[in-house]
Amino acid sequence: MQRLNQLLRNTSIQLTLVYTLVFGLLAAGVVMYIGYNTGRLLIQQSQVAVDDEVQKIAEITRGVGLRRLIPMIESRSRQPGANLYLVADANGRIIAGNVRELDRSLLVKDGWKIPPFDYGRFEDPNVEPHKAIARVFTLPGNLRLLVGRDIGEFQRFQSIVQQASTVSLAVMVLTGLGVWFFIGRRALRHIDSVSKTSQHIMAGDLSQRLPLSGTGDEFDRLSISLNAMIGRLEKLDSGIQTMSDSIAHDLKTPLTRLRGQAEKALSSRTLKSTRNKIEGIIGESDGIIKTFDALLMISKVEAGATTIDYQSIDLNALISDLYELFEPGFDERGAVLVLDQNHLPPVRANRELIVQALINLLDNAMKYGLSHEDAKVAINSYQKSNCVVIDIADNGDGISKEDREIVQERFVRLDASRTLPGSGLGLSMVKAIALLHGGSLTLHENSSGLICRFSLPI
Amino acid sequence: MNTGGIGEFVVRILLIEDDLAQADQLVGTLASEGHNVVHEAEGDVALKRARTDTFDVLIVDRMLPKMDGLSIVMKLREDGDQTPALILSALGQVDDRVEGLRAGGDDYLTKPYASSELLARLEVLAKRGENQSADTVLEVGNLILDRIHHTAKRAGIDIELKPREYRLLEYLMNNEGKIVTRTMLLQNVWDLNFDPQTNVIDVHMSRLRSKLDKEFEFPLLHTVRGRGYKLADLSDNSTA
Repeated sequence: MQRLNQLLRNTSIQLTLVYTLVFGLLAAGVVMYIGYNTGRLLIQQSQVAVDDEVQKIAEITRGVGLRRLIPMIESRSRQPGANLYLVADANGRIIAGNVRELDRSLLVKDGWKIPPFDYGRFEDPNVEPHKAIARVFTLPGNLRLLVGRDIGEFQRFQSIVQQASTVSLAVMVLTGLGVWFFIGRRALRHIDSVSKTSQHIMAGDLSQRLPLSGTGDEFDRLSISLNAMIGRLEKLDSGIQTMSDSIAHDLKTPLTRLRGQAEKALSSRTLKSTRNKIEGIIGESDGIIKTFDALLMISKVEAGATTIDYQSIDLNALISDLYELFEPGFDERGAVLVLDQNHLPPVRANRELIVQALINLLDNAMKYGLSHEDAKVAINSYQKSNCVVIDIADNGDGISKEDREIVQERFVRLDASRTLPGSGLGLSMVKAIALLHGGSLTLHENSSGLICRFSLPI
Repeated sequence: MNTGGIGEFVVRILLIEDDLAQADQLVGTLASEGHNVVHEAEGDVALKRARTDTFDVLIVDRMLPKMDGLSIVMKLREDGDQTPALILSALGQVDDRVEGLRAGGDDYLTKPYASSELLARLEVLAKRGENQSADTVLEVGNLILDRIHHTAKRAGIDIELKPREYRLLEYLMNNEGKIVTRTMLLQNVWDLNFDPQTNVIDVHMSRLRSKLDKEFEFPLLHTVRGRGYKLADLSDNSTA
């Protein structure tokens, strides 16, 4: 019973049932409608023929009198496939015709006897009663004439129609069941396996993927997009995992420092030194806040937030503005910032994010790339096939090949830079921004130093 | 306490903030600077208040329970009310600022913020009406900025300025006597919204300072430690 319930809750079987029912009823209706109308037509035709005959007989009777009527009826009765003829006297005694017996009360009144009545024929006395419709007519001398037509043909026709309806209904039901069996059940099996897998996924195993039948039908297409969604979730989930690990690990250090400074401030003897310590605490907390801001921004960008607004931006103006902003800072450090700018076509991007990315790269170059004398950082912008590329190249110590990948991870700070202020999030943010725009961030070896290559699709 | 010019005038503020602890803290900070603060916690009440009363500045928290902070500002702008509005938000920084400014906000600050940053921006907003004038000449002490010819003179001596330095000076003179923070300078002079990790702004300021002050007996451009910069004539012969 439960299994039946489950079966009935299945969409494909519900659809099959509804279709079968609707089509079956329609087909039966059509067949019955045709049958009914054809039957009516047959009866009408019979009536016309009988009326005709009655008319003729009446005329003949009027012309030649009753004498010749009886032989005429007898001869007509004997013709093959003849209509029904019967002449009876006022008492209902049969005088002539091919009708052996019938309900005598039919003869009492003139007119049509439409609901089919039973009668017996002379030719085949053994078979069960025939059915007929007839017209009764009073002849002079109070004789009754009945002219009728057998409707056995009509009944056979009706039974054929009934058979046809039954067969068509049966075919319909069988086809419906077949369709369900071959298509519906297959889909059901697929859906069952999908729901089983999704239960695993719900239980927390995001590495599972929904099975595909390989036919590329709509279920497969649905599974493919659901799989993509699960993949995205898995990525976000593992992102959160790594991030919370990193936060726990890397924020502990500044918090410990913060606490230390607060303790010192508490035990300071002079107002001035207390002030200094408190300023240190504010600086330290600002650093933590900045780290959080950066983390939030990275995760927002990595999640591909839909609220991010893209506009067509002119990178040429932006790059020269940034050059103009940073140039004095490099100059003050005894380094040079040079700009080698080729005209770039406009790109669709989020200006704030692109600014943030380029500033992070320039900040990095300023912090880590000026280790040698005659330090020089170059901004090169150019178009390469269908990308715009912005290279920030320094002539500092560079980064070893192995470290170039690692350094783009969150919170990674290479040993050489640990003593400098920073969160270890700068490059991961640049990378996230590049990826969000469909571009890339790659690190390359300069003849001496490092090239950070930021590229965006046009 | 050196308030760096704040407190020289009283700003009448409507603070719309649902977090009572934060509101208390903010009211305390603003009141200690001598400002007059009215606090409302609910959006609809605040909107009514802003419509019936007059304020110099609105400080609007973006996330309010019933009515979004931005829609309050939008509704006021629809009424033709141009009272400067500073939007506070705990939302991330990607596009929220742009959205806030589009909604009719005049400035946008992300929580958590330094109270000095808030005070500096508040003062600039409060005085915007009077100062962002179409004056063709700006004057601070003996420094004169000609906005038609884009030239600057101090005590009659021409000062050569690069285009960006001109804009920087114009912004500082427009906000004479008020602290402007580094992020404010980046936003208003460079049109870049970010928090500088390096001292890029300070280098620009020291270059501007050497042009403005080096040859003269008293400085006009002052560094306010831990906060930002201020352009003001603080000399004895100033009339301020």
